[in-house]
Amino acid sequence: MSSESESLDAELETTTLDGEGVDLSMVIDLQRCTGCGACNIGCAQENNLQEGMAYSSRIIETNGEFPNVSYEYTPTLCNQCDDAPCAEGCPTSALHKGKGGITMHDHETCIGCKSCMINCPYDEIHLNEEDPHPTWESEEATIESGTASARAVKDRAGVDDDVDAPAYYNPNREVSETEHPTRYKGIVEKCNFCVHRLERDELPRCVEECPCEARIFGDRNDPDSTVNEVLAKYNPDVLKADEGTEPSVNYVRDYNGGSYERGTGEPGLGD
Amino acid sequence: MSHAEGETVVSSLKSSGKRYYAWLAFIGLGFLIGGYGVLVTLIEGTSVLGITGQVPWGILISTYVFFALLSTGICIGITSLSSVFGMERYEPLVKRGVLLSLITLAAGGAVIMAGLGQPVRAIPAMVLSPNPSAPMWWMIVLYSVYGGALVAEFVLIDRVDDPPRRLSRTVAVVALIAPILAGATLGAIFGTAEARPYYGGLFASVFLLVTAVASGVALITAVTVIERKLSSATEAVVSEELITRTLGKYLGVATAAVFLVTGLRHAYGLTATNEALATAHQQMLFGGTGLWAVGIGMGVGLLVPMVLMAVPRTRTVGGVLAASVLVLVGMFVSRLEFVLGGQVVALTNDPSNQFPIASYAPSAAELAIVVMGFALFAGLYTAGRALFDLDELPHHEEDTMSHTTHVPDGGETDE
Repeated sequence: MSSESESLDAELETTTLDGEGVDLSMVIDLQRCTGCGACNIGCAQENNLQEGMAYSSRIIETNGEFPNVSYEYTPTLCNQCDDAPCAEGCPTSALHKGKGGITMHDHETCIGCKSCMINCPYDEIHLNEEDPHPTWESEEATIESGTASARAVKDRAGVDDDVDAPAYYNPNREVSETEHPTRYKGIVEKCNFCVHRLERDELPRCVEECPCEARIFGDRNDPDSTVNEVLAKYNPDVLKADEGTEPSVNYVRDYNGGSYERGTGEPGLGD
Repeated sequence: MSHAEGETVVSSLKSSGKRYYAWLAFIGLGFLIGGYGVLVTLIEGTSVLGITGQVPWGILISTYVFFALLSTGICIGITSLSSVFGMERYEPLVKRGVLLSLITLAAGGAVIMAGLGQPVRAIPAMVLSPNPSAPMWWMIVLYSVYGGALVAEFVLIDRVDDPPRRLSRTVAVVALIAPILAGATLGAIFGTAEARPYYGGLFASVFLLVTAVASGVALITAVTVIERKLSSATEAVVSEELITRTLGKYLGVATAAVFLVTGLRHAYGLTATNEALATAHQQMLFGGTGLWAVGIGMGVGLLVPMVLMAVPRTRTVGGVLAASVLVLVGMFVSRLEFVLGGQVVALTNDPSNQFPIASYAPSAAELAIVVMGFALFAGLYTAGRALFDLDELPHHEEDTMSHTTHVPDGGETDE
């Protein structure tokens, strides 16, 4: 772990999640981000996400025509908006503003009406259209006589069908009222800054996984936090500022991919 | 009052023999198809629906909006004119209108429940974990109040001889105000989605209420005209003048109003400097959806009925029926156009999503649930007309507030 990560960890240890006035925030340094996707993979592992579901994703914009093309990669996640339209429009308060200013989601009161998906300007809320891990019931082996079937793995793991704990049970997520060790169909889900990790004073998985330390996480209301230091140093941006949602995810140091002299392949003035 | 004497609708239907049983078989087939859709969605999950992460609201939502606003429109546009404002010319339509309002509300509720990810917990969660900042929560509360008022209004008409005027009036006023507020909050669900300017913000509520009245008038007109053909009892109560002079003209004006607000909505959208808004309108009007959104939604569903009702020669009973049915078809299509229009432009260029246009096609399960909605509507109405005398006029004590003189032959004049 680098000194910067250690510093963020140390900050987190002094931050009480339940404390009044704590406003957890993330800054993404676009000059540091290489677009490797480690955040997305780490997030999927941490949250048992099935194929096609991503709490941590990216926006890609390609402009111009060859050879004058610019390419922009922006990592994305739920913006944990201060003025969250998803929470305002949720009829059952399943989505609500929780501790640390995180936009929380209660699986047990979500009715799957999808109004949050309509209200979110960032496409960051996802519906579990079917059981996230149906293959765990499959008797079929990927390679016959070569690999165990999913069902066999589940049996070997000692998971009793009578207990509501399938093979993908993740005890790490069983730490608070709004985190669930298992995931199921018919409800929406979203990033919550890995609140189950925050409860244990661990950084969100995407922050921890980033090899370039492009993600900086901390309390916006702590004047000495690294987040505030970075935000003060640079001119931060948020996605779709005109929507007025006041995101808690900020971007600094907009990346310029550079350009090349037409026909020569040499770096141009913009690089 | 329930059927007791003389020629009843049910006896009339029974006398029509095979047609009656064919109709029941048709409804049964609808329930069978709808049952498949509901069951497969409950078992497999919403993955069997055509919705996606980018288009989470599809034909089930638009069908719900269609039915809910039919109910809203009948009450605001027809029954309240008699029960609240004392316009006696609409009295023959009140009992049938209240029943139609109830069953369209039920059909809409059934369709939207079938499309929820967790339908079983929907009602308990609304009660135990309410969110008063959400228009959807208010809509459900207000439609529940409205449903209760409709039941009370129907019971007062059907079961109580000479009900107290004050009670009838109170129930009728609730049955007018509740759907106005419910329809407005239904509009607010769309209108408050600032990320989707196609819905028109505050204008969404106004737009939906105006279209609700037109669709409600169309439904009650269509059903009443068909009933007149089936039953001499209805023919005796509902005069041809009421159909052609009152309802026909009313439908024409309401359709023109819808044409105006629809045109304004699209004109504003197409000329907007907001690129997402302009793109959405271009896509819905001139893209692949244009054929049905413009052709059926505006052409067949608005323009043709408007012309039919504007020309005296075509404002006959048959012409009014044709116009009503066309308005209903057009309105069903327009609801889908409205719901999809807000989602057709992709919000982000995430490579796992469609960009810049998000497409949607209803699945077999979704269409089956829509069929279930119509079967439920038809089934409940068929049961209602068999159980109750829908041609009964509301009983009330002498209304000193009335400004209408009832003429026995069915023609009425406002003073």
